[in-house]
Amino acid sequence: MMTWKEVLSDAVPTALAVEIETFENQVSLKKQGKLDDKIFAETRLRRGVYGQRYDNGRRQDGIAEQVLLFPSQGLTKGPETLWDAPGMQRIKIPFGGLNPDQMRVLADLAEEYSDGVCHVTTRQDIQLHYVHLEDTPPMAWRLAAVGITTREACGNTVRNVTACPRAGVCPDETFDVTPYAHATAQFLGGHPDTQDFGRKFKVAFSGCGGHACGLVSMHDLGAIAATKVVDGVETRGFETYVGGGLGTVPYAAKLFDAFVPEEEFLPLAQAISRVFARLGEKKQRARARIKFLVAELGIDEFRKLVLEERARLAPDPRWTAHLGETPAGGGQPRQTVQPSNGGARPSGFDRWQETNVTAQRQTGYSMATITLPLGDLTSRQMRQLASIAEAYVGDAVRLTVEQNIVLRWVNDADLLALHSAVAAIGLAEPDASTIADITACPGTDTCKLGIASSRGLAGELRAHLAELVQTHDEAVRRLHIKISGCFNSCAQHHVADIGFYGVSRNVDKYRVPHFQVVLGGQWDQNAGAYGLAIGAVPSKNVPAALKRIVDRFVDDRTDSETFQQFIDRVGKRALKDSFADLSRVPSYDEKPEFYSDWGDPRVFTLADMGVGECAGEVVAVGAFDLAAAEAQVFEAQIQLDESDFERADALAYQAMLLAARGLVKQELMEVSENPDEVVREFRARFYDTALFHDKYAGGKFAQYFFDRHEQPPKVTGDTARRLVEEAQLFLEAAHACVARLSTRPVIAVADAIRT
Amino acid sequence: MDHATNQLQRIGLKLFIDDSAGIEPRAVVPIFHRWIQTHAIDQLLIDVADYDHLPEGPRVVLVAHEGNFALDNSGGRLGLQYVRKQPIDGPLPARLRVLFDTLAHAARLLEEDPLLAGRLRFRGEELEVVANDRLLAPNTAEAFDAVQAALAPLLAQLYPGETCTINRTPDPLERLTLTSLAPDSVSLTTLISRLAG
Repeated sequence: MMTWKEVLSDAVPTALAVEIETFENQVSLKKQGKLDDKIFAETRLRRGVYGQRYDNGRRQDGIAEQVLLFPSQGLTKGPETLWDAPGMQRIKIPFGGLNPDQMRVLADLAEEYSDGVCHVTTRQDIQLHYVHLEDTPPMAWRLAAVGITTREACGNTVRNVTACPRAGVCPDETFDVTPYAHATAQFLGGHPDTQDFGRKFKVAFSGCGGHACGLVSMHDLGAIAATKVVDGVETRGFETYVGGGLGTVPYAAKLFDAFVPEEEFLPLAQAISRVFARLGEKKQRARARIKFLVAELGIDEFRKLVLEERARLAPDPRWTAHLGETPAGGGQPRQTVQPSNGGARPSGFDRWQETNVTAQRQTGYSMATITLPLGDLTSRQMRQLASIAEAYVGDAVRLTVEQNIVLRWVNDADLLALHSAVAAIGLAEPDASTIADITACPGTDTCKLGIASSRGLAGELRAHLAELVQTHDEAVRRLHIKISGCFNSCAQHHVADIGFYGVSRNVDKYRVPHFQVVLGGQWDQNAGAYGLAIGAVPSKNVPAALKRIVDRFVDDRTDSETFQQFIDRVGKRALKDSFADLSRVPSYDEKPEFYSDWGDPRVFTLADMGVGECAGEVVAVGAFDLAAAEAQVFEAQIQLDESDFERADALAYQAMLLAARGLVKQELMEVSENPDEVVREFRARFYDTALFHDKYAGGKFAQYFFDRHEQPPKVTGDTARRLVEEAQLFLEAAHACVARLSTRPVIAVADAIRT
Repeated sequence: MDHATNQLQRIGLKLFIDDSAGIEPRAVVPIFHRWIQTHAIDQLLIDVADYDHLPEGPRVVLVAHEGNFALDNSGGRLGLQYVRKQPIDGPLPARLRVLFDTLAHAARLLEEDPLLAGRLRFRGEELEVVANDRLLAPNTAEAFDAVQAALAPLLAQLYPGETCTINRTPDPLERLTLTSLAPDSVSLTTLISRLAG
């Protein structure tokens, strides 16, 4: 039978063809049982071929766990990952730059191998879901033929290099970072010095320090365009940051150098990679990101090691080959600039123009944002948008970290026609980058780590918030909401004005989906500040809780006060109090809908729960202590806000002790209050037995507790903030542990699926 | 029949819902979940994907190993689509027959579901066939002829004595798509009985 490889191999660069053929061979070898599970898993991950929820062949259907009897039973594509189980294909799009041909191929692949939907991620990737492993090599051939590689889209590698989608056209940028982002992606991708990392490594570029577009502060390596006059000549370079990252506990990147000359950026990136590969943690996955290495060494020592490494590097012509290049995918005007003729303005145009159109630096041209609900568009929309882009802007298409698409170089005279064209394919939704333009990770829809339905909640909130955009002023409209399905921050909830992440709580032997409310984050200034969780709310009460917070802001803010300033003035305690009543979960009999997640009628569950004797008592005691610990960690956060870091540190530690002691009391009622004894008993009864371990994170949350107990830090704002975050995660793990020790509810079929 | 199109395995079939039904696509979310619980369809049913925020797309998808069922609103026309992913034996006409049988039985389950209270009716006279494989069946006249020929026996069985009008999606960038329309309206139950006969 004819194959895509036969049809396209001449169109694919040799190096890429070799890589894809190698992967094809590895798939074949694995199918024959000739490759180890772990090795193959890392191999496919490095090709962006991910696992997906239920790929272990088990699924809770709302009544019971079903075993999914895939035909290739026994054959796996990784540990506990079945061969035939649908997975996710992540496709790296460096700096989010796409051309119409690439958009068409993405559309075709989504249609033929996925479910007909293209999903834009928060790191300017495209993800296709429900893909069969054996379809991924032909997908790779088809992508490679239009210049896209999935190489290192996942795994412990250099992930997609992101950049401001306005690069090259933004009125506020220092210079266009596009060629540098492109060169970095080309240079670091597949480089021998980036192949031995303990964890992933993310790079971002921004054209300025003020806007959020590049999110430099939350990246492993971040670069902000800068210039410097040297001998009377303006030279280009980058304000360079290292060691940032979100994940479970966010770290703000440290300034490595206020000005790295442009010709020095790639060698510096290479040297950083070598130091990270050599000294970064390899065994403990939870501490393997470069942020831990930078924190452990201190930025000064880290800088010293990197510069020593830099001095040893042999020159590489690729370091400077891109300098002076025309920006890749930077776009060029498609038509002669014409003045708008003031034609009739169709319904919806004005609002769309107000929220989705931004003037470019170049007079007469604009950027138009295509708002994508939940980051999704259908294959047909992607294909039709490709034709519209071809007509109006050519190659100037970018994906954004807000899960939208930007068309650049739109002739202002074409805006009306462009609006009509995108409206005709259902893509003229307004409200880009407003409170209604919610970012959400896949969550429980498809992610194996998801706890609660981030997309379900986002869909619900969108309906509630569209009205706010029209009825409130700029300060409310420009709030950013981001929702992650768990604590891993894929939706970047820490840097939202109002963030949420999924957790669960045990109520009357049921698991109830909740979201932690995260306040205090800052989207601008390249993700300038991280928020903290102030309390969990049942999923079904989140819209009401959000309304209370927004209403309070609307009613109580002073003139020109930003949301961050408002939070600082009013205080998190007052804001938490404003929705405290919404934290209560009604009984199942009273409101059964609280026991299902948004968009999913199944009775909520995380996974199998163990059944123990005296389960009810266990839950009661544990819940009591955890509630006390939650109050403690919230108090720690208040102290953190008031810059009493010593007190915040102490309270966060005490919260962990209290939660650990509560767990120990389930087995040993007379446990002492002596911290050493609590730690010893907790370690023996819950850590060594793995009872406390998260299914995916293992024992890392307990390790936070042990680390603080054994090595109290020299307290600073950074360490205190981190401990508060760690204490919150420890409490979430304690909640999950209590749940595992409780009894799974037995529910009649009629109740299990609500209509 | 030695045309590459005859090797086609990735095929989508869609039955359209009568416009008067007034069905909210999300109404099928709990139904699809129940089908998974009760193994209502003889396929390995895996999960339900809710894309209700994409008005002209696969609004709700029931993901199965063999193929996906979607309450699909592509082109603004709501219907139930079955898109086969895994290969099945036999020549293309026989495969099309198997696929239609699968789709029709799923459609009948929906029609009979108490949650929809008898409001949903499929237009048995109209059938959409999508060749979901641009390699084996590009949207060309030649491939169209091949698929049309393979479809003919099924149409003859479903609509005996009638001549169906068959149209092809003209846009060469879109998948090869054939829409067959029989002159007289016909119920799903009738189609299923004709197929069994």
